[in-house]
Amino acid sequence: MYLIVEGGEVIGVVPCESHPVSEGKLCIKGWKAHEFIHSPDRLTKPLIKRGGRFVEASWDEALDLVAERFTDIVDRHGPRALGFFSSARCTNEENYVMQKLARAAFKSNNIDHCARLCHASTVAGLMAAFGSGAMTNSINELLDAKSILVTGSNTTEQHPIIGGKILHARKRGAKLIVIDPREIQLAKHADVHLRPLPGTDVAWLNSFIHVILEEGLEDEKFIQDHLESESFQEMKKIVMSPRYSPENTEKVTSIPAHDLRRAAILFASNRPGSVVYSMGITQHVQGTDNVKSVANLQMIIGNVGFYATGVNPLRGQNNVQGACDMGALPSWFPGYQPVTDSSIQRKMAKAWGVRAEEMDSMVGLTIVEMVKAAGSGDIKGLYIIGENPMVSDPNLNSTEESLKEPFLVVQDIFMTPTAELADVVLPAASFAEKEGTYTSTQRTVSRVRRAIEPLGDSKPDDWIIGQIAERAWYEGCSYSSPAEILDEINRLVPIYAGITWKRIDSAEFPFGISWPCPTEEHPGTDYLHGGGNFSRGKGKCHVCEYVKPPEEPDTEYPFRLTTGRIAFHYHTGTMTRRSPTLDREVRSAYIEINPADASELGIRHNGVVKVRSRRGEITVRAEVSETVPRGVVFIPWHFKEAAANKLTNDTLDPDSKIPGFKVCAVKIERA
Amino acid sequence: MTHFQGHTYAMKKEMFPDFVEALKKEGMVVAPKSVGSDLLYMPIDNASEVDFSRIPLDDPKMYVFPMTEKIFTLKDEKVVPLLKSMKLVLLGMRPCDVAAFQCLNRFFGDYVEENGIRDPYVMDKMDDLTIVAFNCPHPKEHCFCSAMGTGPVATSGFDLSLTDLGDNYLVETRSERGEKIIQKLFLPTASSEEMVEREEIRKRCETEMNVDFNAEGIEKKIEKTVNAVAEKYAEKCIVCGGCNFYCPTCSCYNMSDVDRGTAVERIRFWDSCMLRGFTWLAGGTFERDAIGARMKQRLMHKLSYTVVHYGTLSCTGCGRCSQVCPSYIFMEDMVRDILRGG
Repeated sequence: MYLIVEGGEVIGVVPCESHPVSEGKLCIKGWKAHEFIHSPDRLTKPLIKRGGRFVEASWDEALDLVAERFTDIVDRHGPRALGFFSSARCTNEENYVMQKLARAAFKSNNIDHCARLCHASTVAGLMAAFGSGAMTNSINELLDAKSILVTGSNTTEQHPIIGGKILHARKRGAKLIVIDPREIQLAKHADVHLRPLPGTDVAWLNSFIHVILEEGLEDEKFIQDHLESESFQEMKKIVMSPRYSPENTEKVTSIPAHDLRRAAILFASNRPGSVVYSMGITQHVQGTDNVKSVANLQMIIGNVGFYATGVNPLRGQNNVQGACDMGALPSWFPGYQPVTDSSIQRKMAKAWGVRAEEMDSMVGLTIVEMVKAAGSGDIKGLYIIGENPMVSDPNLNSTEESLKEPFLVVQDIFMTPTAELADVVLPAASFAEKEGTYTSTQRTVSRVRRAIEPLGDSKPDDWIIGQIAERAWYEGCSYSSPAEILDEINRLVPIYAGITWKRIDSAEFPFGISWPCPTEEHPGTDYLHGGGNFSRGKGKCHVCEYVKPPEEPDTEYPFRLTTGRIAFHYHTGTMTRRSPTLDREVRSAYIEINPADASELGIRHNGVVKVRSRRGEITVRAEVSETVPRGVVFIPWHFKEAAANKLTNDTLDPDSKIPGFKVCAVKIERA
Repeated sequence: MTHFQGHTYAMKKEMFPDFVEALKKEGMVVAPKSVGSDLLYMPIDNASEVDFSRIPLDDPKMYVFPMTEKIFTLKDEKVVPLLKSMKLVLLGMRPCDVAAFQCLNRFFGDYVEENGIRDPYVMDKMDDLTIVAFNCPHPKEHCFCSAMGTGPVATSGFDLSLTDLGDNYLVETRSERGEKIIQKLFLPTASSEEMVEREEIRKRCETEMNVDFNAEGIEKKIEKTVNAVAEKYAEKCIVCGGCNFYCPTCSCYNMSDVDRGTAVERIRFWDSCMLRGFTWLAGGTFERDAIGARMKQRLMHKLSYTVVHYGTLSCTGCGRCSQVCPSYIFMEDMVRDILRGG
């Protein structure tokens, strides 16, 4: 995408015709990407809270205060009393510098970012099964798949360009199987649409494998050559048990047995087949098991390691893949090198000019854990960049209480509900105002170029981080340019070793290079685990037993609430709700409710209703629609004034610490 | 432009730099130029930057009707209009876009002028604009201009046009302004062989385009079929608005007022009838809630309403909406379906 600039202002966008994935196509958020940049709400001065009110401050004042307070906290309470939220909207270079600030300057592994809330279970699940936690294949390969199984992804709304490619693949003859409780747009084009109850994914996935093995549709040779045989046998024993027969699964998932059987056979007998999934799989207390089950399914069919196959988690932010790659995670250094491995610790310590024994050698806290630790007083200082937990985190009423406690620094382009709670607010530059690289969902690292200067006194995030580090007596976070940062990444991160600034800034790679790219001669990797040779050696099947979600509907809270995004807004709406076009399209939160349920409750279309869970209550408009089945309701979570996350449950997946956003129990009444 | 008969000249390609120099005297020259791996309409300094080799996706409409435009500021209770105009030469506009600019002239200028209304923000720019068309030697994937009667050779609506004849350009004039520019180059009149050659290029391009329908009279047929066609294609629409934003004749805009503290700015920006909010009514309901209803509006407007109101179709067959559609909905398919009865 190109930006049109006139008189120092971005006045429009031009789609990029030659881009191999977008081919000149944009979604509405792309066409209107310029509308928020010059919003009068942009933060342009550092702010310090004095006497409960924000007052403008100079950069020196604000940065000195932050460095002084953080240093003081470390002196008095130790490095683990600090927490850092990096941002999936920032560049790779900025994420790298942020984790370096946490680990090298302040010696804390308490660094995480919003991937915890979206694909933590993907990283954990696929790392365990394959040895690499990213989308295995590339987007354009979908056009050549013979079958596509889409589950827990409303692709045409959340990843419209990919959704369009799935529609086109369908037109070209691919079988399309959609498994989603809601009747999403793709479902209307599907060969089979199954509607499981939210939170029952392990059950239907095991039943799919049950049917495939029963019908003899597995790829015996692939299983023999490429999978750990013992793990396959153990998994087989479990899924073949009668409780995962389609008939018994129907009782749990409400998917008709006959339809499930048909879908499983259709998918397994049309290869190459690709699975596309997103938050509907990951955001569960059983999220990691869901992901592992998807991996099981694709491995036994031999749908991994080949063109147009794969397990394809779609990442939801411009650089959430990159933020993970750069080690903005409490358990990994950049490039998924474990923080607990002493040889890696030594390598990093040497490169960063610190003593290895001073560094934090234990896995740090995740986002939701850090918020809770702030509430309990274990975390005394929190530095949040480009994140808005006051809308995005589960169980917001409790989040708010917790975030009031620590010394809170928020760095953003707008005054978010989270920033309002802060002690210091630092104004950052938007995407149009900075140089660097982003990594797309298909692992492609490409350049973002500055179109305009940072607005007002705002600054690029990497500069701000570097300044805080310097004032805390660490020089290693200050660089002359993002190119210098990427150069350091090339040296320390093997999967990025060949993705040099010189290469991706050149005409040879106008649209970037996909990792792993180990050398400067390497062209990059379109699909992982080529030929079934997994990153971890042999693929590993996992035994996953279906467990009920922690909260199910009962007589007091009779509806199953699931949440999600819509096409016109991006996450907590801080940018898209400031675009007049996007804001006009959908201005407020709503609840989708089945007409039969609505009529029983006396709720009319567009009527105002109160939705209540054990944790909170919001008032929203009713959207009476067949999109949701009886007993299930849906609320988009973008809207701070009626935040769906006041209702959601903050119980975590034990493996990946992702909250189970996608299921909780609510009651509904007319307001 | 309308009363000038026009002449036809031959220009050796070696003279193209002189031609560009002559254009530069008329204003800033904007032409398709290579940026990264794309062709964009950008200001150029010399002839070597001009690239006619491909048909750009980029839309020259932006030069008269920007995506976002500050139209006035309100300060101390005074309105200050921000009329921006500069002498501009659009070099290398394709025939479909030349036809589109004629539509824009009607929507923003000609037609409403009879009632004493003229949109100064667009029309001031139009008045200062010199159009140099480039006739298409080859079509692009979604081109169907021949079915819409706008190309592949431009016949009116330009000051100058170029046809690539190999060693020469055939240069046609359609305005006094164009004639004046070309006279400084002392070009010979084109031979009859060269005119025949141009005709052959047109036929070749039409053959390559391979369009199996003709939209003439579509406004009389559309009523019967539009509902079914709109419904069918709307099922795939993901509501990106791209078909409107990159339509060279789409001219709907919305406005918003931005309070900058010391002054209020009124900004106008491209709107899209494919968006639900386009027909937002008081009380939060939408006149065209279903995507099919919006698709119908778009088809009716392009293929019927403007024929009634302005005497012209407002689809030029440029194929941009087909190319930018994330759902692979193709305008040429819809027009064909409408003509063939759904």
